[in-house]
Amino acid sequence: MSRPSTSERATLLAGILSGFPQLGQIAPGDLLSLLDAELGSPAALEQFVPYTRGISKRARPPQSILHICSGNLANPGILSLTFGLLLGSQNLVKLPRNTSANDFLQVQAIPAKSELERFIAALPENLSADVTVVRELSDTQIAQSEVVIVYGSDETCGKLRRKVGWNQKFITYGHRLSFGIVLQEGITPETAKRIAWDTAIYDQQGCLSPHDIYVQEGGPVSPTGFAAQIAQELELFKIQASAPKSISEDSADSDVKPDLCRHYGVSFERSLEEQSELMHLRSSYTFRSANDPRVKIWQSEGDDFWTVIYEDEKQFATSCLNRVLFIKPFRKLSEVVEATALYRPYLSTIGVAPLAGLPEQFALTLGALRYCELGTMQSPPLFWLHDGRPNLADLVTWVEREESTDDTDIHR
Amino acid sequence: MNPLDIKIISAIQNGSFDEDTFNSLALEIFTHQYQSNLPYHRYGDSLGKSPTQIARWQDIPAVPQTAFKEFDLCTFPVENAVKIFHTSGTTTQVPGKHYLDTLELYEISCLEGYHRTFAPFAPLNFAILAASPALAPHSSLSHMLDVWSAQFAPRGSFFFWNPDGLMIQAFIDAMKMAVDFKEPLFVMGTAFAFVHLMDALQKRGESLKLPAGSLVMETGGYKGKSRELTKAELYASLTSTLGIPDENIFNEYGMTELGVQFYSRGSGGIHTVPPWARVQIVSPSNGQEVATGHTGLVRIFDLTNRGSVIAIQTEDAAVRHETGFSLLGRVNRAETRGCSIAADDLIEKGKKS
Repeated sequence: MSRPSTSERATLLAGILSGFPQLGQIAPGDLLSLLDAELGSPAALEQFVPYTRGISKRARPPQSILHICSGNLANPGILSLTFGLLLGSQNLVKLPRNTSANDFLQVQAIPAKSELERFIAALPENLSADVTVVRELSDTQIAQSEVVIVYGSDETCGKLRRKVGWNQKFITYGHRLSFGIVLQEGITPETAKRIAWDTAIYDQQGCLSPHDIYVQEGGPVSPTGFAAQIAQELELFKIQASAPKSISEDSADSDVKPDLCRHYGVSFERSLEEQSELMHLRSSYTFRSANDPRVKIWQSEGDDFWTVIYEDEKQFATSCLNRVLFIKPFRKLSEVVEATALYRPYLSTIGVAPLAGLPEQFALTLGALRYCELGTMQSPPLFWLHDGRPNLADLVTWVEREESTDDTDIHR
Repeated sequence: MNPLDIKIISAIQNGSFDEDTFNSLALEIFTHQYQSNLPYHRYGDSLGKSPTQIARWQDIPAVPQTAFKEFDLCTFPVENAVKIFHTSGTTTQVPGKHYLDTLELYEISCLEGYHRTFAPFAPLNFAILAASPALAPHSSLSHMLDVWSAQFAPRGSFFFWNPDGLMIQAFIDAMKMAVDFKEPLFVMGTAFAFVHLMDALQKRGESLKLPAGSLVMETGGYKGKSRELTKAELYASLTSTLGIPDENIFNEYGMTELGVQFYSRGSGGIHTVPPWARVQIVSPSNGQEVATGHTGLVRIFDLTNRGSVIAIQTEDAAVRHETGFSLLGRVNRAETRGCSIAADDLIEKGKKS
């Protein structure tokens, strides 16, 4: 079996990724463009390409990459493996384990097959030969990987850091959180729908999922009125997600119709811990809202599918996730800067409606690493600088070649 | 005295309640609270559960325990309180407050609870691994143990606790004396205090065999104040270091916000519910009672809580049984499963660093 070339790998990978509509439309050309953007040329893996002033360079991919994937959502793992395979490295994939914060509760089994496993199963033989999957990891496996990439909690990242040698590349994607800002001119029914989408998919478990939405006062609808609209849209989403499915099991079907539950990780199942947390949050806020006109709560009836809490308190509130969204009013953007300051080191994405209305200086003072339109928070482009870093350029090592020139001045 | 209190106390003293008596008294208490406890009134209204809208005790709105931290939940002006119990918890948290305008209901519940659980055993000396009311004036546990001491420990009781904490050496000396005199002891205290005690004994390579008939009652969980043991581990350890057989070890399940307590016997014991209270084990997803044998959260209806709220929703998980419930423990927050973070951990980290 001959090893596929870079462009062959790009074609094979794009073919499989077409079965994963949640990642957007990725064509072979997009993967080659990514190589071009990050390595300076789509050919940089296969030949020396001009660098600068008589120097040419060639990218040497890591021999082996260990991808430690987290349980909250599959997309980062799928993309991480895609990048490893695009570079032509050997890939060891550590799948997540399910754990419980309470010893006395039975841990629910991981859903039959995650999207990450479905992706791995769909790989053709000449790519899957470069992939090994494990659920348990030995210290030797960690030590033998040239690059270790971790997606997970800060604790997981810290634990692994201690096991990695000085000569191994160690890349971590730890705790992050996100929120949204709706400016006066962005207060529209369409924005409410987009916020519901950003909040609802992946059960709000992703680090790109918004915890809070800051809504500017003085617009066509008050922040409370807008909160009610978002609640309505979440209810519509629930109805859509509850509709019976008809989906082909063929994962590589390129005409695959996006399915909320399968592709966008929408689930109605909750562990007892999650249910308990939601019950307490809801009853506490119901109690508060009954006694405090500055607090309002909307929630799905008969289940805990979604909860919207309006609170006239600017301080950023962390959601317990599973579609619990806080709506907070503001007048000036500087108030949002202040209210979210404590979380600045952990900010990933701020979705803004409309993004054009956000003055550039606030992109730095707010402190997030990514700004986008609301409705696209969960679908960053293939080219995004994940947590502020390139995806491929961090992995490769450069080999350089300095062309000799006649005027070389040798001092002896 | 509040006329309702006379009814409640006489019902408790007359023994068992039939379902109708319990129901009518519960609804009467709820009506009283609805009329004189404004936050509860508003909560009831917001749920569509005012006294005119319900006819069964099961429909009385249960207040989340956390509401005690944010609201003064009492049926009288707070300045009329004769006692304020505070919840424990971490130092950074605001305590929940339970205001009492009389101690009679609370104390009759404690005394009857003791009587129903421990009466079969002979009077004993009490050795208490908790602070006295003088050191912990806002602790409902200290108050209860003090009331018990006065009533049920004719020969003597002692709180082995000083401002520095547990008085381990004094306690060990007292236990050795009890062994010498073959006097059974009733050792009672918080689970974490027992862990500290047993760790100290093990460190010294000592173990004691307390005289036959001795009892242990542990309560209150760990709250991060010691290493945590499962119930089976704690009981096995109590048996091996103090020589108390499993069937002589009891758990008390109570809380600052309630007058009633529940007791279980032995590591596999089921908590029983006294006649002046009802317990439902409810599904957190829909608030409905779960079937026997299933796990849910403990919801308590307590007639002795006349001065605050009659029904409380806890975050404690338990399995429902025909004759009571078996407590599993406080449900901790779900672990974050990856890069997102659900709670205030980051802030906590920020404070530490």
